[in-house]
Amino acid sequence: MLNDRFDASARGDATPEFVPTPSAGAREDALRPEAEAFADREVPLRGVRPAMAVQQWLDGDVDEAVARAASPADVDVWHALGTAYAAKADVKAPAGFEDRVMAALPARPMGNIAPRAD
Amino acid sequence: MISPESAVEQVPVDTDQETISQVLAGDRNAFSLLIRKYSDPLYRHALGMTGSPDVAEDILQTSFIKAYNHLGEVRGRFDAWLFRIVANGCKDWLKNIRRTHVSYEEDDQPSGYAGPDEELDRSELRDDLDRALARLAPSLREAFIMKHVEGRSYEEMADVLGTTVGALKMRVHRAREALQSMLEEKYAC
Repeated sequence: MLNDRFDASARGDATPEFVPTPSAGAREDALRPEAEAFADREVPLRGVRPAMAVQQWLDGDVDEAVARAASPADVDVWHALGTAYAAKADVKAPAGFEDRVMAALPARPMGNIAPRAD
Repeated sequence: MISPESAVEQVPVDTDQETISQVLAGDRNAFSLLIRKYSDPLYRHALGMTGSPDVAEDILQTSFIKAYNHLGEVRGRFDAWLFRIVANGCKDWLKNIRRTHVSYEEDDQPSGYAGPDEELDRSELRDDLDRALARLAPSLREAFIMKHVEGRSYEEMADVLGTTVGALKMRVHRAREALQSMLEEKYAC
């Protein structure tokens, strides 16, 4: 079951080192997409997951067997996430979008209109 | 896993220049070819960045109009130039949202996450992934979406964004770390 895959304590893992600051709720999170975002950092933190072999597998650099040998739980997590973002990859622009854009265009590109002499 | 070839990769770039020449010569309708060719992958990007279908469509429409009006200024690859217009539109919108604290989701959900005994279905996971993506810094979100939703290679991402493969790998890796951390935090017993 997926919940088992997410059970970090069952694997004896330490609490992730960069847990975001708790907020009052999901609404606040949505309102402040960056306020509590993870800061950019150049050096990976120790002990963070997914394991490096899993990162390399997700990058296409090594086979799944290599990643699974390093961390089967991480591989399972990313298989599950893969189904979630696969749906996003099928999204298309709304129906009628092309017509709406064409209707909003001026007769000629404005950049091509010569500036007035006055 | 999950590397659908984007329409951007499948279309020869040279044909874009021919289309642009037609538009600049006065054939306004030729621009619809460019809209048809690029609207789907660009919409996916805008939707991934903003999380709002309405906002994504607005940004995309504005971007196409801007591209049309500045078509004579295109140098190099049109698809990369157009992508940067859309990407900048998304980033500007995110900055504005952060400044004004105006909600863009009617259905911002309370944090009623599934309990340990509750089976997690795909739609719940999608929702949670959306929420987790929304908490990432825009640069990390952008890199993750380009890699995993748009299915771009690091080399193509570097070309379009004007940065290095190494820097983008680092962003994608950090995005994965953050996403896994956030999702584990929610679902751990």
